[in-house]
Order: sequence, then structure tokens, then C-alpha cells
Amino acid sequence: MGGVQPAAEVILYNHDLSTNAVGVFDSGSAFTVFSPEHAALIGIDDVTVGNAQRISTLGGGLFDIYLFDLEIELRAAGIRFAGQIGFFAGRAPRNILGRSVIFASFEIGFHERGSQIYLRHEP
Amino acid sequence: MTLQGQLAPQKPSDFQYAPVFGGCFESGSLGNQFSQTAAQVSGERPILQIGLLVSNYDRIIQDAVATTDYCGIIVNAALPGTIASRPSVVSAVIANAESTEMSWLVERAQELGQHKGEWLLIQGQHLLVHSPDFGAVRAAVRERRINSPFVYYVPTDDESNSVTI
Repeated sequence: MGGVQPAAEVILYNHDLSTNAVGVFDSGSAFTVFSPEHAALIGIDDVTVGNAQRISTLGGGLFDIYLFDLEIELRAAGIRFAGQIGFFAGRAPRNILGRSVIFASFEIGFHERGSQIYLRHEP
Repeated sequence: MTLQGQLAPQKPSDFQYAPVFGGCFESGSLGNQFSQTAAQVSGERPILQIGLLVSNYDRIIQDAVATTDYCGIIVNAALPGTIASRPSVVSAVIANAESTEMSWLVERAQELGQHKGEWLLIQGQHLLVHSPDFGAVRAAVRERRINSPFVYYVPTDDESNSVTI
């Protein structure tokens, strides 16, 4: 495949620690999930202590992600809110902004040709 | 409404979401052929481009002025002659649109190919560290006491074409 993917800058918060990351909007993902390196930057050295959640992929694979109660901010919107953020057990090439937390908090539209994303916060 | 009625093509005026769409902003797009980076955020855009989703700009702007809740959301709702008359809203929006680090990524999209498989630690307009070893990035964060580090991984060619979920 290739081409471009819709993405946004987010800030993850764990109490007084935070880190900035880039995630790809993915309505096919039930969860919002980040590479574990981002967890380490906010004080979570072992992501496997989180609430394990088994994920199935469209390709038939199964793997676990680990959920934590954190806060996330969509940088462009400047809105910070709490939610269950997942982390992969190992390094992932991209972070996923999925239906939980992100799609649950924003009305989202895509303009593919214009490489634009439209969002409206739904408190 | 009958099922046929619900499935029938709707005229634009029937879009239920349009009247309540509170605002919009551009957040960019990641390219994944050579690297992942955001599409450059352009300046003002014509109303037609966003009119697909939003039809009530007057109300949006009014709401934005009335409450700060909208200030971070109207980045791309550039309505010439309307926003311009409310500079306080525009400045708030621009300030929230994108970090300096994200802009750095956008501006160097074509150059990131040389960092495939590496972690980047970006601060302001500077690439502080690039390494395939995340430990190097983390050490730099500690050493420099960066409060909220901007860290980005540049996927390899194989990783760029993978689907994770």
C-alpha cells in the first residue's frame, strides 16, 4: 500500500508526566494504542502490568494490548480528557487512534483529497 | 421513516450532522511510503472545502467568540471576512493547531527517509537524538530534563506497509 494516512499529534499524560506522539486515526481499531516506548516516557516501564486485552486482527492474528487509565490530549483541539489508553507489548511502527477514547470523544470526518480531517469534540 | 427512505440518497440539506457540527480543524496526514510525517498544514482554505461537513459557520464563529470551548477546534474554519473580524479567536486557534516539533516533522518529510528504523527526539526546531536504540532517546530525555518529549519513530519500508490492527 503506501500513500498517506490520517494522523494527529497527541499528548499522553500520566499524572505529572507527559509525552507527545503522533497517531493514525483508525476506525477499524476498537482501542487507542501506542508503542510501549511512549509508556516508558510517562513512567510506565512495564506495560504488561496493565489490564490485558486480547485483540484480533482482520488477518486472523491475536495479540494482547495493555490498558491504562490515563489522559490524552488531541493537540490541535487542545482538549484533554481521561480514557483507557492501550500499549502494545513490543514496539509498533505506528500509534493507533481508535474508536475508544478518540472516536468516542470526537465527531470525525475525512477529506481524502485534501488530506484533511474534520473533528468536533463531543463532551 | 421507512427503510427505503433511510437508504435513499439524501440531499445535502438533509445531512443531520451538518447543522450541529461545531467546528473543524486540520490535523495533517502521515505519509508511510518513505516515512511517517504529517502533511503540511496550509493556511486559510475556502469555505467550499469544508462546507461538505459544516454549513453553519456563522453560528460556529458566534459560539467560538462566546465560549472558549470552541477555540481549539476552528483551526481550519477560515471564513474570510468573518474570522478576520475576530482576531482573538484566530490567534487561539493557530496556537493550538500544531506544535513546533510537529511542524519540524512536516517540513522535513522528505528527509526522514534517512532515519528509517530510528527513534527521533525532537525539541523545538531541533533534532536532538536519532537512534534505533530507544534507550538513547530516553537517556537524552533524562539528561536534558525534557518535561514533555516529542518522540517519533520512523518506520522501515516493511513496517510502513504493515497493518497493525
